[in-house]
Amino acid sequence: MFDKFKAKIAEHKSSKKLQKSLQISQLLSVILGGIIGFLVSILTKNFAFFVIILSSSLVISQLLSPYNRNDKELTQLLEKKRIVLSFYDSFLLFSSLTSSFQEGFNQAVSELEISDLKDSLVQYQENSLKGDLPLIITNTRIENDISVSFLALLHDTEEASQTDIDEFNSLLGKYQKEDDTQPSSSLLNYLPWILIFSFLFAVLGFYLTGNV
Amino acid sequence: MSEFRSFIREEYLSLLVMVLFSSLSFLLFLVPIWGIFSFVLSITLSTFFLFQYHKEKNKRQKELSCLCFFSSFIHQISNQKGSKESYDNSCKYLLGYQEVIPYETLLENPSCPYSLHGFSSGFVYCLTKDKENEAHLLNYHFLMKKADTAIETDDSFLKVNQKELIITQSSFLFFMIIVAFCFAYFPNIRQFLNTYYYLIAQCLTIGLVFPTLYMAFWLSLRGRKHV
Repeated sequence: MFDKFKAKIAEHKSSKKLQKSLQISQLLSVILGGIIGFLVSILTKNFAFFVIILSSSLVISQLLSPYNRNDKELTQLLEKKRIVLSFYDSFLLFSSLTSSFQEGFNQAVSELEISDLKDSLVQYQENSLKGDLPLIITNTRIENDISVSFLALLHDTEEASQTDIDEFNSLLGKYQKEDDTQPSSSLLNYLPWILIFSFLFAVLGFYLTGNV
Repeated sequence: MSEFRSFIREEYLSLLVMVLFSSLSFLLFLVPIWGIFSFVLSITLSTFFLFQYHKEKNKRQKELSCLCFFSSFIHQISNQKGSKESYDNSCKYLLGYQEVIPYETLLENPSCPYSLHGFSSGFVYCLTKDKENEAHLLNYHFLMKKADTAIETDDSFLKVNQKELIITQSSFLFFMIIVAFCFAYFPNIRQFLNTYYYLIAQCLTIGLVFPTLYMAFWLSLRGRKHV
């Protein structure tokens, strides 16, 4: 029960929707910081406030980023997913080379580094590919689709055809995109522009309000 | 030292734009000492981040050359060429990036000394099979397709990244010329900004524009995932 709950939280954390909303909140915090900084600097007639408030909002926006937060659970989950994904990749690679999913599976298992996953897979092999597949982590829809497809390939398909390989590969692509861990650098790219524009707006603001 | 020389040789355009940008900051201050401070801050930090960017770009280019080598290697084996011949022909992609290991050495003890990431196991498997004279029995179709896609993606990413950097740098320089012109045309702006707070803020703003730009590009290269 608790495991299911934890998996659901982890799934929610890695969802695209949440990442998108975090990106928007990051951008909003910078814009808000800029506006507040601008108003405060106009009222106090001190440009230093503008830079201080804008810098603070930039720091806050970076803290909002999920990649900068020390989330152990999420990191562990992503690491597990990475290992599973690399196993599937390796399975597909060897299956295509040998034109056999069974041989591809055996080769991919033997190529795995010593780990709990390797032990479970070896045990699964020894049980004649029966029992629970030890490749399910979050129990998401895409993960279930992959495991169903993987078992079908392993049990029912004699020869690895190009169509089967391509179909499985496209499923893996979706699985990979699901937990795209590449940090967003889009905000960083705007940083120099934010700096230069903030400076210019502040100067222009003072100039137009007749402070010069 | 040789790395720094290659950095100067390859990134001279970026360095030139950065020096020009930093030099223009002199026009924004009434007291030259602030201009010097801003100039030194910009030059030092920019050179550091541009050097990091250059190192990361070289690393990516090296990885791309390894991928080209691997793709060419399996394409040739797939076309029924001899493994050694295919390997020797493909090594042209590694020249200038990586030391080439003789095929016999690799065949004796199959391993992957090249940065192939996700393809390393495939390369070692090909070598192992070649040792058993079975390399030509393997089906390389999927591997070729995957390697070609990886090359295309990485190559276009590197090109776009470099193009973006040039465009952004040039636009900043253009922007700075306009700002400098405005400051020169309205001298009272400089007089108005000649207080301690404004000078520090102005100095930091101008001094940090290029370093943050290079840092952003360096991090975007570093954050990119491998195949």
